[in-house]
Amino acid sequence: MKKAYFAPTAKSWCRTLAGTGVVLACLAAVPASAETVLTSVNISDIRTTSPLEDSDGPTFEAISHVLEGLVAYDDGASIVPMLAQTYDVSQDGLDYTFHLRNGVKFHNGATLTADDVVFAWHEYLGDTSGWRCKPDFTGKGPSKIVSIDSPDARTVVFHLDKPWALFLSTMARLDCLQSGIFHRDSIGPDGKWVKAIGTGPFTFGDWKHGEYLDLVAFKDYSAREEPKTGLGGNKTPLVDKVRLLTIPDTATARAALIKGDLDIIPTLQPADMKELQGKEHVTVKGAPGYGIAGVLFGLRPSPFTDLRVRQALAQSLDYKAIAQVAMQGLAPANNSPVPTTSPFHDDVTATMHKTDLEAAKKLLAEAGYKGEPITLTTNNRDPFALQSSVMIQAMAKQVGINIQIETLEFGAYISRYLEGDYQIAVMGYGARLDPALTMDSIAGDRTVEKRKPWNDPAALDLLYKSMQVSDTAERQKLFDELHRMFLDKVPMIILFNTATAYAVRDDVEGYTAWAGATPRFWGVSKSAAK
Amino acid sequence: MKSMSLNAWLGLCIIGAVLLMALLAAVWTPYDPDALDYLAMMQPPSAAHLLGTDDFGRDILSRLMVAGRTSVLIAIATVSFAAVAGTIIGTISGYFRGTLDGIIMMLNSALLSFPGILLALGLVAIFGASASGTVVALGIAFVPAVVRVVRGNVLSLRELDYIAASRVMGNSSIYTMLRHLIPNSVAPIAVLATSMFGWALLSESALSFLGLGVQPPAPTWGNMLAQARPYLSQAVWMAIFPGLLISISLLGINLLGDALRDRLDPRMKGIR
Amino acid sequence: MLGFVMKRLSLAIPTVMIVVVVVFFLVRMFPGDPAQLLLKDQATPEALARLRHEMGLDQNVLVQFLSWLRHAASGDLGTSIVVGKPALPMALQAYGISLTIAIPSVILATLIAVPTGLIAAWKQNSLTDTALVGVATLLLSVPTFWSGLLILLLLGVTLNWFPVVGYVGLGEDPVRGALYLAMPILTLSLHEVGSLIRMARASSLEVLRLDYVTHARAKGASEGRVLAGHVLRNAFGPTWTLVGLIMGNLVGGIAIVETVFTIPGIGRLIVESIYQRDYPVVQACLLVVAVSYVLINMIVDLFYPLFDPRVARQ
Repeated sequence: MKKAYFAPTAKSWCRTLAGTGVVLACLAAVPASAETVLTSVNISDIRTTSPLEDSDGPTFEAISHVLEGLVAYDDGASIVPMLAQTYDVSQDGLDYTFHLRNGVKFHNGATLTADDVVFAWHEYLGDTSGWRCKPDFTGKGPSKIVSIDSPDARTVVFHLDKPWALFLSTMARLDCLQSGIFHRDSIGPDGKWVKAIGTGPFTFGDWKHGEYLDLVAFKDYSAREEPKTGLGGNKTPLVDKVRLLTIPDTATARAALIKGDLDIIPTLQPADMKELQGKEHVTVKGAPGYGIAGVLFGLRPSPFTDLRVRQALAQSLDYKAIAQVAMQGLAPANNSPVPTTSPFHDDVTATMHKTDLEAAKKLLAEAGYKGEPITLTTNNRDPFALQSSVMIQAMAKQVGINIQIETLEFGAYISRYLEGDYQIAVMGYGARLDPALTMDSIAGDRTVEKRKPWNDPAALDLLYKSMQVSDTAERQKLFDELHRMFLDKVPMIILFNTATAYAVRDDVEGYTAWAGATPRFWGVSKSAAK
Repeated sequence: MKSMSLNAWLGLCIIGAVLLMALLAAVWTPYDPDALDYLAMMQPPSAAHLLGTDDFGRDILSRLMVAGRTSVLIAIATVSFAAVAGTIIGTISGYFRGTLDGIIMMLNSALLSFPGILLALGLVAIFGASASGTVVALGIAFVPAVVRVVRGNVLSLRELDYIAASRVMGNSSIYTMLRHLIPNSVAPIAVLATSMFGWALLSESALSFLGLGVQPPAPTWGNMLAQARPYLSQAVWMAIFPGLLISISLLGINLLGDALRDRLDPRMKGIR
Repeated sequence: MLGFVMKRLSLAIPTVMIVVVVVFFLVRMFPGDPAQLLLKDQATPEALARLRHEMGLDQNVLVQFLSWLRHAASGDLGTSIVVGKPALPMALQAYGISLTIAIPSVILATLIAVPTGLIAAWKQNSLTDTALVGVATLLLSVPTFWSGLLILLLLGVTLNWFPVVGYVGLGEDPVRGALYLAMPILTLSLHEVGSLIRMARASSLEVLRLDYVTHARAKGASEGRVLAGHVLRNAFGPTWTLVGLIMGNLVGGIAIVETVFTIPGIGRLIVESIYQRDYPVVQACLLVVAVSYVLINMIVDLFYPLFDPRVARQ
């Protein structure tokens, strides 16, 4: 009899399980060890621990805790020495001499010498290297490294072939892994990457693919004395371990933070802040950043090929309202390729398109635009993209511009963006800490780089110059001029600088955000369990 | 009608209400579903906005109505596509048998061994996440089920005398198929179609939820639910109503499908 | 029985082959490739070219396919473009994790559904029956992405009974692991219970009308014995088939549950790999799913005679 057969077994099974459960639960209640663990979240698993492969955001952020470079960005997006104690630049701007700090320890106990720096750089620039920034240092940009020497154990000299204002900036870029110095034992005898042996405050611990990655504190970390600033200063780790959980679903991550299963969400979309504000034991903060977001004009034929129609669109938008909604008031509206938080932001770059609906209508009439539908292509990944698109559609309607919104899944969207295959599109860019680098992401020869909407040879000349010239005042002049050209020719309409927010539980101390908007787990501690 | 059970009546009423709403949405909604209102973002249900507003200040009721229309149209288009394509393929396969049948059956089983939604995901990624892409993707995903049912039906039908008679009389294969086989397959197709309508509605919502169906700002119940997720604690009504509507519609379809099956499927007759 | 297995396998192998071929080419038809997705707004033409070469994407598609086939023959289904680890072990591991949700949910649903369906059939057309059928229909009408969210909010966040994020393998820590699985299993069970109750009820009704049941009653057997002895066992047959069908199709529906509850199962892996254009992983996963579908159906058919003596006698 099936029924009779099932019943007693089921009951006793339940009893045994319950009993075991109670016992084990009691055991689990006893705290394991006194190890302090900070739990944070990654939207996707890291791809590799090697800086010699091209990679993505989470990977760069993780490696930034394990490797350190000669210099680093500070809170104000300026360059400060990191592994170097000091550095000098020759008069002609071609020689950079770095004097290394004394007694900096690698994770394997070895002491940093100039040889290690030269070794790592040779690997970075080597033939088999997939380092993202290799082209920048080997001639794609304004200059290239001719040679790297170590006259003595604590000095490294880089020779460039042309003056390059952004040499140190590029070296310190997060997506260049900060040109982090790794010990030669990081690479096996067969030339394959083994593990990341660097000088950073953490080492890579357990890596459970798709689940979590551990960063283990390096107890013998050689810290600088200056207070923590940007990716420089004093980076002493104050917790034993940081566990980065892979949670692709942002709603689940927020629920976990509220519950206490997560300590930090380092990158929160402004749209998601509201859900967490006011929750017990949670603090939410946000600030404008260096990334830009805007409307790009594409290669598909459209009424926007006419400058007047572009200007009409630019004059029909209420930028304050767009920034307010898309960035939840965290970032002001900004039409300039120079971010509002940049030291190069001045009165000139603060000028914006004038919102004038009548003038816009006149321009449209002049250009002969009769209400033909235009497709605005956006993606479904970034909340601000859709929000901005919807608002732009509504505002453009007021002057008679007929916009239809086409939302694409991100993979399809990126493909179209990279080909310039759209009429207009809304796009957000990651933070770049120098205005020249920001402009470089949107300006170029469109026949070669179809993704870049700013296709103006005169502007490109000025941009190039701003990368070579080191004098701040001169660069400011160049940026001002570029800003004016950008507003006049409207190759793109920048809407605002993307703000980033983060949320922490109240028992986490010392966590702050910086200009580059990447997580920093050093200098962060957890007070006794609440 | 008298012999219809309570459940069947309920199903009919629900579907009727949903279809009415979809029809109405074509001509009138309380507010313009795309109208933004920054002063009224995320308002709870009130006299002005019966079901509240969303994160853009858009009226949820209006959007739900238009979404219902979109979802219903997509589901109808999908089912039609699958029914037509599946019937043609199934009839040909079952009638001619032989190698053609063998190949078609193998392809069919292969497609069936794909989890439906994943196949749809893959197809949508190719055809583009949009209304038409969804219809094609889901339609293709549902065709194998129709093929299997129709072919099975044709296999039993073709043994009947009047089919042989038709051939003997000199009627072409096509005529035989069109005149005799297909009309007699209508019953099982109809039963399957009601289930498929439900699957289509559900799959479209699931695809939208995963971000691969109809894209915002065009509303569907699935993508309204997906868009509501960041606001679950502040504006839970944004998530409740779309999900509720999906559930109620599916309930209606299932109840109606039951009734239909009772009437049309002889194997289940008497089991009520 | 060996003949049965061989026959089924010979049908299954071409089916799986077709799946493999279709998936391979299907995946490469998606707009956007992994190199573009990786580099995003930093994608210079040189970086793209270099990355594509590294990923082997710049070869002719047929060449890529033949190369994949050759490796597949020796068990190597390629390496994940995103994670850099071998694709087949990833797929198998994820599948195993999905099973830890799928199997308990099916068992739970069946344990609830069969007696319930039986009772509904026994009290056919009564208020109880109508109510039970109504509830069952309601349950199968609620989409898992909605019920999952509601369960997460209620049991996970508000009542705090279960952890809301993360995952602990049952192998590592059975008790904690079980806590992470509770809500997804509940969500899935609720959904499955609906269709299972209806199926159990329908097959019970069929059996209840059969002669030998009348015969048993005439012989004086108690209602309970009749139900348990004859009806239950025979009604279980078609239900068992449905169970097999559900198991086979579970992978699709499970993707949503795994996403909502952050379980690293195969459904979620497939969806994410599609988003990331991680071709080798998508291929490996779909191969695993197709093969398991075939195997499950085979097992279901093998065990069917246990429940339906009429079939066994054939």
